Amino acid sequence: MIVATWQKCIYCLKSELPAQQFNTWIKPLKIIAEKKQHGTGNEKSKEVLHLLAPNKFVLEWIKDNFLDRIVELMDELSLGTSPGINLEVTSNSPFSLEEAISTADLSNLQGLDNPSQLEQNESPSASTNINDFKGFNGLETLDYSEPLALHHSLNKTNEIQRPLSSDNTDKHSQPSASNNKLGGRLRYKGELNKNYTFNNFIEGKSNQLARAAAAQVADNPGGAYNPLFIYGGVGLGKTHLMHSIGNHLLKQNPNANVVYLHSQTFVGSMVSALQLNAINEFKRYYHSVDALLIDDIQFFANKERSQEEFFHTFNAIFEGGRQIIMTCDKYHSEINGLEDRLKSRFGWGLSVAVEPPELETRAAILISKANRENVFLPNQEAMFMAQKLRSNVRELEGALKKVIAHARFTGSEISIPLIKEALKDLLAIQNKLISVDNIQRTVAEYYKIKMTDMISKRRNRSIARPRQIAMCLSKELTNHSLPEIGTMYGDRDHTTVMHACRTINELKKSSTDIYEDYQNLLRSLSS
Amino acid sequence: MPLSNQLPFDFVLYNEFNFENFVVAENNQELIDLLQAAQLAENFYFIWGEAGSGKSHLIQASCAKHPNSAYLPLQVFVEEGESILDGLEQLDLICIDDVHLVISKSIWEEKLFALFNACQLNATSMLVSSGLTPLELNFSLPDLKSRFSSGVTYQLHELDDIGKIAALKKRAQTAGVPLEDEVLSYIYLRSERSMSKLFSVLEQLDKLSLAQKRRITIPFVKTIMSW
Repeated sequence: MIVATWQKCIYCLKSELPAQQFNTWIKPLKIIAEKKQHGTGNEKSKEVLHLLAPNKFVLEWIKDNFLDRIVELMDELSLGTSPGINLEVTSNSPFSLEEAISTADLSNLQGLDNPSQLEQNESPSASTNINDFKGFNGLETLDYSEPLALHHSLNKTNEIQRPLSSDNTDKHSQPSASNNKLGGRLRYKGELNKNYTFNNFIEGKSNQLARAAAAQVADNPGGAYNPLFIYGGVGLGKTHLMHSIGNHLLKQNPNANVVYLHSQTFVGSMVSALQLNAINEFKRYYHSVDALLIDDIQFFANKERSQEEFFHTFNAIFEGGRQIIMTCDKYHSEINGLEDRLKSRFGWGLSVAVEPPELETRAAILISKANRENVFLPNQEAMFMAQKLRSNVRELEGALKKVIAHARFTGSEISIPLIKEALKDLLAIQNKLISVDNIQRTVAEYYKIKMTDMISKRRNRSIARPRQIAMCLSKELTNHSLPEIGTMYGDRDHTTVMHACRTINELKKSSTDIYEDYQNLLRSLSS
Repeated sequence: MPLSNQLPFDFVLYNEFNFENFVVAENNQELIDLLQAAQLAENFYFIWGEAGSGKSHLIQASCAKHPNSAYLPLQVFVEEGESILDGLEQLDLICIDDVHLVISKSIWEEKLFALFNACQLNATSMLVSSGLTPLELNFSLPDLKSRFSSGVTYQLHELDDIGKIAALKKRAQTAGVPLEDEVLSYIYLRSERSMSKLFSVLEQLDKLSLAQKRRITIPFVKTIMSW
């Protein structure tokens, strides 16, 4: 009954409010309907509607601006039965009602009308995908496009009779006396992505060492490579490798408590545990895992309390001979704002770098990703895309999705003209951003020489070498003709540009320094 | 919470943002088809384009189409605080308008990064609009830049003259503003031709015609707009 009244209420609100306000404030609200018994026996029950806002910000806004009107409308529409209305926050990450039931057996959810029962089954180490709970019959999502038609699942569910505390306090924001029940509500971890395995990790020169180390750790956790510290720029496959290890460990031992999480989640869980006076439980949980996979450790920088907690967690896991795997965007000693004792511990095991993939690997990644989408991407087309997109794998992924979408839209097979058409906006911007001027500035800055030296006649090596590198990059990254490039480097001849390119390409093979400088500059210019 | 009670929401006059009243330029059809699909094929869409190209309309239309979604105009929230992003991953679709306004603000970027990751985990889709592409935005967090680059990026192209006149006409019709074709042409030939300016002219004329109880005719437009 109360759910139907709420449907009518939102229909009224939709007609009263500007669309923007409705979509911003009213639409994200979820509801739980509750029937409260007053006393015992045949006394009348009262219906209570719990309006769940996604966060405190929305809650405050609703309270200040819409709650009076909502109460008024609900009173009118319920023909004087005046249901109670509670405004609450669904979840202030990392707590949520969904999390509270996230450890239960899914098969028991159908037809279950008392979600609070599920808390009895909670166990922090159990893992169930939170996505599966969307549409859970306690949390209703209403279809606003058909205001007066009840949502399908509502018909099945009707009101949820859920015994809640009688006061209106937001239980998630208050320290609770029954902390032993909080376990299941802490978002202790993320999910291992089952799509990330060693089988679909494309190996190339840039990542083969990291892959080999990861495979070793997966076969022999807690061994010599503990902790495993994988570092490198964004979008190069660090997270893929980490998930591959986790999935392999679970395959070997399905009962292993393998925990993957992002460092921000660790920080968030810790803050919530502190708020809820549940820090001991937090510690117990993390200290007991069989393998801890923690992503983007650089986000611990300048978060002292989190570092301290992580320090103890690290020690407990390490001393227990269990495996720790971390990823980071830089080498551990280079993380600013991280305590020295952590930096040194991160280096106890093995640190491996993941470099940007080279051309052939980029092409292979594209072909592999296309295969996974059941799309045929010919070699030549993959190479074309790989030549145009150099910065990281995520950018490749985005471009490939666009190409596939365009091929589907036009009903054509993937060809180079189709790729050019699909990516023309992206490539035009890339060309605009990578100008010869930009290359000259970036190289001058990198080698700490003056911009004017790029176009000067000076020929000493400390200036000529950076200039040659800049010329080589100009040829590689722009479509300018060689005479044009020569002109932009102090009116030089096109043969000078050719010579510069030849020299640098040879030096890249013989000198590691030049190779690394070139790769760094290439990456910085194309990302 | 420092929340002002007068958050600005534009174009109150016009209260319906859906696909039916969105005028589609030919080169935007591919994007519109993707967004109109019953279920979004990807988890992350990045839509960029000039002011007035229809980004806000389009992502509001997407929001209106999907239950369990929210529309977040960052122009409204940029000063109010990033905590509006908390917990949104519980929804099925989050439509974030004008993301460029918060890029380079590190607190916002960290929140967006956490939200992006949480959305991936929860299979929640994100639809983000911006004045610039991820390549051009000045991110302080490279992690966020790379994640924004991993989605499907589309430019929303501006309408041509015919499209703009059609869009103005459609908006007038939807808002119930009587406007004859010759008046429409008159406005279009004299006003600045960005859609946002054209819509604001329409709104101004509507308000004053109601206030003065006069029909919107060419002489009326001439007087009001001093053309």
